[in-house]
Amino acid sequence: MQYIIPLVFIVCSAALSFETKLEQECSQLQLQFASASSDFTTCLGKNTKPVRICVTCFDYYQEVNSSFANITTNLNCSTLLLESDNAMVIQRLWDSYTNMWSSALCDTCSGLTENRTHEFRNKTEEVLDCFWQNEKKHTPELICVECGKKYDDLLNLFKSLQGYGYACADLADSMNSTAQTWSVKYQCGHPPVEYVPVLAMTIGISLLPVVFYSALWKFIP
Amino acid sequence: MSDTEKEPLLLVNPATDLTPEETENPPEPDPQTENVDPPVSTQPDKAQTLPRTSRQLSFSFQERARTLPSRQTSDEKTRILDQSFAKTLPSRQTSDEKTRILDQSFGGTTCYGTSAPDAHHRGNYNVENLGTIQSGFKKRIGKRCRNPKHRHMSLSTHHGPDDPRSYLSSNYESLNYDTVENDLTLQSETKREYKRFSSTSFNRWLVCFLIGVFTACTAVVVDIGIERLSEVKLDLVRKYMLKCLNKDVCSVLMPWLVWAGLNIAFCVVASILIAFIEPVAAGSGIPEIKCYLNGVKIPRVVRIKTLLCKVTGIIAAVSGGLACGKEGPMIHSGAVVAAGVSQGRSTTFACDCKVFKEFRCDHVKRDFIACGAAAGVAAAFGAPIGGVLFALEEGASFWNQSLTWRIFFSSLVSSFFLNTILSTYKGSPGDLSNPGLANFGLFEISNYEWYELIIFIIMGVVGGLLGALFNYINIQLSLFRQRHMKYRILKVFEVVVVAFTTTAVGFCAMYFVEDCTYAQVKDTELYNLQMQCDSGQYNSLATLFLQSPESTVKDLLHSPIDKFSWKSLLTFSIIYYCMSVWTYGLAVASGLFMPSLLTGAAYGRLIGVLLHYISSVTISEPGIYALIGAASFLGGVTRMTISLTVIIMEATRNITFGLPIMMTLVTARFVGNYFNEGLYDEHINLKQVPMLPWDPPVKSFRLTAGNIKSTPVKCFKAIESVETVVRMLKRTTHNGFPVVTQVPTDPDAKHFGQFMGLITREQLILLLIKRVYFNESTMNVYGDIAVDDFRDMYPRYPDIEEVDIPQEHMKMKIDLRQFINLSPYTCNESVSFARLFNLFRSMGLRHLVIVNENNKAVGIVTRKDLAKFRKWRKQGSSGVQQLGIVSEDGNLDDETECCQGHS
Repeated sequence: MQYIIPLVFIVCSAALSFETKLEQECSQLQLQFASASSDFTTCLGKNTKPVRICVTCFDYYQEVNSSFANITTNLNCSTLLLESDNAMVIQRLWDSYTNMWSSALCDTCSGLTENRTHEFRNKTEEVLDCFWQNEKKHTPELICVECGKKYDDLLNLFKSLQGYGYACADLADSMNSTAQTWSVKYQCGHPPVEYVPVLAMTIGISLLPVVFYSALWKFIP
Repeated sequence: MSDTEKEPLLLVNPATDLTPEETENPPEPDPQTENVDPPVSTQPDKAQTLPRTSRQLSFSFQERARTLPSRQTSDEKTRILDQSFAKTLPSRQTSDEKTRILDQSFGGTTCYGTSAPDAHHRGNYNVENLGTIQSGFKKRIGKRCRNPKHRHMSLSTHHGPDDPRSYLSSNYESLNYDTVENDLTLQSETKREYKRFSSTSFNRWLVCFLIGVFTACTAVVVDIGIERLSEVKLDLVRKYMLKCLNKDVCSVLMPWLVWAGLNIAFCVVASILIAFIEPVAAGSGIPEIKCYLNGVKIPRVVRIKTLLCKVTGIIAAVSGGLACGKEGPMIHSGAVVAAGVSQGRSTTFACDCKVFKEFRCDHVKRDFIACGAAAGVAAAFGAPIGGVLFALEEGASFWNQSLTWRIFFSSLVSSFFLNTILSTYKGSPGDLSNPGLANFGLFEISNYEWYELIIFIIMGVVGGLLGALFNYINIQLSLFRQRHMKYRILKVFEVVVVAFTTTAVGFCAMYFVEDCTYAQVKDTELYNLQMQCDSGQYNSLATLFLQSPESTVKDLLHSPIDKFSWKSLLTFSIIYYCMSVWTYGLAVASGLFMPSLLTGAAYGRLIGVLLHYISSVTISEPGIYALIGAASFLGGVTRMTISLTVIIMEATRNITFGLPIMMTLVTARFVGNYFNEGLYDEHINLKQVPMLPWDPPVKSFRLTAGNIKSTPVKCFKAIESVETVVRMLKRTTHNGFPVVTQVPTDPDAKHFGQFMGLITREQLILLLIKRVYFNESTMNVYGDIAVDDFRDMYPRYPDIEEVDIPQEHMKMKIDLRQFINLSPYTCNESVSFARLFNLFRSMGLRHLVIVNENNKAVGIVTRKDLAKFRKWRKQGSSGVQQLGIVSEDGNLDDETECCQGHS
């Protein structure tokens, strides 16, 4: 009997110490995730406009990714941190990050796939450089002519990227702002508006049914 | 009138005219009837079998009714009839009398036996009579209708004598839903083992399953075909659009020419299929299926050739950019699939799989066709319950529980298989997110404020008005087409003109309406055209016009508010309205659902967007207004209510919108019905199909069976010579012949011998083909026939001219007794039109023999006799009109009469 009580005591304290050890380990993981996600959200907020999230925040995203992976691989902690309560803070945060990341198509132009967009970035630089050069030379009226070729190249490249589904939010925003500068600020690239032939065609075509039906009405009793 | 004096005689001996002695001196007060009473030979017919108890009862009822004095008011009559009905056979009658009564009742269940002796005095129904009967009628019209011999004047119906809607065509045959019950079938039923019954029941479910699967496959073919062709077309157009942004390279009209050229090429294919190969595949096919389920046989409507033309045609027409959808034709396709699968063979390809033989009759086939139509709806909209309700609302007049259950099964199978195949095709098998061809997408926010219900109802009114106008214009256009499109090639030309104009108008709209949006991350580039927009921007109207109608509907329902400007929406809805009015009725396969939904959704979204700008209170998303707009307009055009509500609910997978959609649809229907009928019904009228509506026309209660019956009837004796049968079949076009004890020699006879049963033309032809006749002298029977022979021949029986009978066989006799339908429904002359109508419609009859009080055949009522009395309704007033019957060569068969009333 006298052995039993100390034995019980020892077992219990071991269990308790194991418990505290577990908690310590998990809280470390928790902290790791917290700081990673804080860094990531800060980055997102900073790069909202102009949109540069995919490239700039890629590293932070990776960090969040790995810290979450650490939690999920540790079976004890994943139960404790992800499933033990209704709030499910970590799980929900993680879900919203991945959701945002994928809806911006960021995987197509950041990290390993970043090279794909190098050309696009270079061309954008060229176009903007061209704009700037002309501004500096005080010849904005020449922009449409001088930068036309470069701009068209850029646009075509963007369209081909879009065709492959590679137009992530960064690219789309960059392209949109360049296009806006091009067409609104410098008034370039307005497609030729030929109202006359279209109008003539409209009138011609609208006469067609009239002629057809009146001929039917007249010649076929 | 001496009816009252004569009646006690009848009371003493109710079966007076059975014995020939008394027939020669009949106690008939009416001299007219007396004159025409034919000489009857004294040879009694031996072919009488024991009738059933129900017949006894009904006969005793009839007998007692006949004993009533005619002067009594109808109230009194009813009371006395009730009393007499409460008793069973009078006990004081001798057993001899009873037997005679039983004998007399042989050959038919007498229905509604309120025999009024004055039925003869009313004479044949004519306008004079109506004028007096329906006292509240307009005098002017009564005068104009006075002379029924005149051909046109009497058609002062609201359509006029030149309008095809004032006539019914006699080219349409009825389907025979009433099962034939003769000695042959009864024998084969008794011989059948229990196992056979259960295998039939299993086969029914198997057929329903197969219908679902094959309908889904058809839908997949249509969907993928349209998707592929449109992609190819738009790719080419886009290339030219980009190229011709530079004015020096090519003209701005160049892409349009390419676009128009491709569209025209597709549309020519679509129209040639219809105009030259199978005209019945034109349009959505819903009117045709509606007629079929109602009991009218539209020729070639459920043939495999029709299906092929329909499927190819709809792929070509939708890819050709016409304002039409693929959903309506799916219903027709489903019906054809059902008709083919359930018969287990194809007469076109002359292959017989030797299965499902027991389903080869009108009655069962109709049930399966209802399954097919429902499966088509389920495949089109992913709405299995909507499909069941569609079959209920638009189709089946005869409904039973187990059929509902099987229809639902077919629908679910169809929806599930479509879902599985399309998901696999789109690269995510098992995803199951494509339950129908048209998928309206999910609403994320689906709440609305209570005051918005009022706006929804107002939109329902507007939808009803727009729909009524739509129907009016389309019908006028269809009338024009019927009159002036005499040559097939003109129909193709018209399609070319429409295709050309549709393309041109769309192009102009894109060009002149500036509505530019920036590229979104996930836009599909194929449908984004820059047009005249600034660099990097896209024309949103071009997106609306170019992408598939299904995606456009989704866009209109779910896009954020600033995606489309009010200018785009207005232009789009007006153009689509005009184009779909113009397109429906062309010689192409074209559905009406999608263009109506698009027009309505654009107009609804327009209202939603405008309300957002002007209102100070909370207004729901414009997408919800788009949905209500779509429902209201579609409801205004088709006047469907319950099935459409459920279809839309299922397509959006949202029950919250059930109430507003229902309120909108009901409003739209009421408003639209004030002006005209639904478009499908109007087209049925245009085709002069003798369709029976749900209810008999109001104000028809004064008409009786005696008024409307066709007389004299062509009858056969129980044993008839081959020559007589052949001559009769060649001389007449009738399809049903009463078999009577005696056929009068006098051609003007008003009535015939006692009615024994009914035989159809198909049966007679088959008897002749199988040579089921005997030599009278040697009693040598030639051919033999079994029930399966009738099924093998179904549904295409040869014409009598194709039957080859050797001259020496002409003298042979046919014994019809084994083949006549022993228990067809019959009616007394005094039965009211409304009861006759209900009996006819609910039992799906083809012929209804009218007998007099002595069970002698006096006339026959067919579908056309009932359908020609049609309700008309215009702007609050309504009445009954009588349509003329017109045969294929355009001649009027009947004298046309009319009656009209205002309420």
